[in-house]
Amino acid sequence: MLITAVIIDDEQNNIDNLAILLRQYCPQLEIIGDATNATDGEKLILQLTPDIVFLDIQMPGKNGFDMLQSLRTHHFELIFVTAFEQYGIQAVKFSAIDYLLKPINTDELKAAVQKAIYRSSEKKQNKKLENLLQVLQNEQQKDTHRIALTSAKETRFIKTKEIIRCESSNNYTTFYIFGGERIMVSKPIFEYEEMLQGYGFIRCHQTHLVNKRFIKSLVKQDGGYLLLEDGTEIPVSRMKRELVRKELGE
Amino acid sequence: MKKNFLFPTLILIFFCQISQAQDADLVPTITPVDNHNNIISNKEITFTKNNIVIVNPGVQKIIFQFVDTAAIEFLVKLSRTDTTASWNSFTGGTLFLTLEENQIYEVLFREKNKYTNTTHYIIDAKAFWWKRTEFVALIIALFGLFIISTVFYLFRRKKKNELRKKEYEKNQAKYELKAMYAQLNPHFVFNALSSIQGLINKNDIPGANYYLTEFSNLLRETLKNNDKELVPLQTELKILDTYLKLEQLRFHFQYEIIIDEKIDKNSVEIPALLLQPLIENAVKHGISTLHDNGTIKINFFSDHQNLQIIIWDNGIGFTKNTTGNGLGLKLTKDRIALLNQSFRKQHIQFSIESTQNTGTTVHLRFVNWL
Repeated sequence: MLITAVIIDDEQNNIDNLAILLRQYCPQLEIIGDATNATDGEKLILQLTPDIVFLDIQMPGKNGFDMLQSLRTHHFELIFVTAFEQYGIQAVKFSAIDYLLKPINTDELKAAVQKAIYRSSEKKQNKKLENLLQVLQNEQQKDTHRIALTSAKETRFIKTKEIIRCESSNNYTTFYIFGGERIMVSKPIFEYEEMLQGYGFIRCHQTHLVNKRFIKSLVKQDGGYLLLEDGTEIPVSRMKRELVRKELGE
Repeated sequence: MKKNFLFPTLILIFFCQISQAQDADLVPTITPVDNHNNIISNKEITFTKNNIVIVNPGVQKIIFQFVDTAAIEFLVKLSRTDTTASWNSFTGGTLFLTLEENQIYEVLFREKNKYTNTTHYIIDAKAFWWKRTEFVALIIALFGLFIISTVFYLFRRKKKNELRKKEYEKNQAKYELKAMYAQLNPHFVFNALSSIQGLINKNDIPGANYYLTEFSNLLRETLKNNDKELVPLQTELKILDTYLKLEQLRFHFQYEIIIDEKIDKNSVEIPALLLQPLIENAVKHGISTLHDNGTIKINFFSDHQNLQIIIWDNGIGFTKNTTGNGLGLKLTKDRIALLNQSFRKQHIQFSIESTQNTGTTVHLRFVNWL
């Protein structure tokens, strides 16, 4: 069975370029339509019900996010295509939605399409997209934001205020959730440090990222460590001492 | 209950004194007087047991009066430790004792030639509360405390100001350096674009696609308005690899990046873009003229808690007189000096060794970094 796709981008050149690359590198996809603005894009999706939507974020008038908000159906796999990691990309990463940067790297394109095909075959409600819209709609209420954590079995959406801390080991990051649960995710810690910027997390050590709200005190003995509410002791590296002090307002 | 118990005790003390008085006429009446020897109120002195007489502040004299003084001699010690005092006879029936406040006197009486029977009084001349030793000591202590805390406060304020100033200077320097590093070398930018044009015109479409995205990754990393001083080693490695790939397109050299498995490159952080100018030097001044024979090796390894990086090239090398590669090296040295200021215990050691026509080795050691 052929997988169908549409491309929504305000520049026709970009649409053509992506179409050429898709035909060459992802022949299992059939491109059934394209649009150069959000309004047409919306109609296109409702009319053709594609499996995959390639969507540019920055478009004149209604942007990609606006289009998604007004759309009644979310039964498709979404791949954002954007030129620069500007506004909104944090929310996209937060929801673990795939995005491609222009000019498009063909390896990344192949990987993203493969994942989208796999997911669309499961015919599940697109929870990642719903999470993205949730975050965008309540942008200011950061306490309500949930971050997508994809472990070996499933994708969970966890409120950032419930994450006590993250610990790194090579390519993996382990999340310690309030209540005792642990989730291991195969992404390096620095990606989460970037995503969680502005959510009150401190990178106090090469292997540790800690939620400020769970810090009880900064203990200066033994080279300095953070004492958490649950009694855990997290080391503070020498390089990060100044940063930690500043963050904790000392 | 308590009162009833106390009453007989007091009577007992009273009787003791009476009995002592019967022994000989050694019990004087003690009266406070003013400067003109006029008797003042008896309330100004208090008798306690053991013959201690407490004299209220302001009383300058007391008198001891006996019925018959002919057979009595006395000794006045000006303090309890006074050993110079000697026995004296009375002239007249009274002994005047001039008091100085805050002093304790000891006065002894005995019958002449009969030394076994002695009466002694301790006169405690109290000072006004503001002149008392305890009060003065308290004032001195408070004053001392005040001085110490003021000094401490001033010291801390000074240190804080110094720190603020230092931090300001540090930030200033940091931003200046950052501004310098944020720029990609224009030479590199346009040569890279030119190389990609070459691929397009040779009809190497996959190649053109590949190098174009690599180039845009590098641009993206440098344009990223990242105010972080430290970046993941992984990110820095990616930048170096991309840079070398693009330069390889022009100069066809070989390169190798080797990283010790023990180093967790996703957790370890290093100063952003610190290595880039060094690699650029290796390409530009090292192997750019050697073409296929040029080799660059970058080795990351750990010794104990330290991270070591060796950048080696087999290029033409340089002597101290060689011009051209001075700026890049100077910038790197300045940057390291600045970093060493902020992370004193985690400093970076830097050395460079170059022999003409055999190659250059740059050695970086990040002490206590892992």
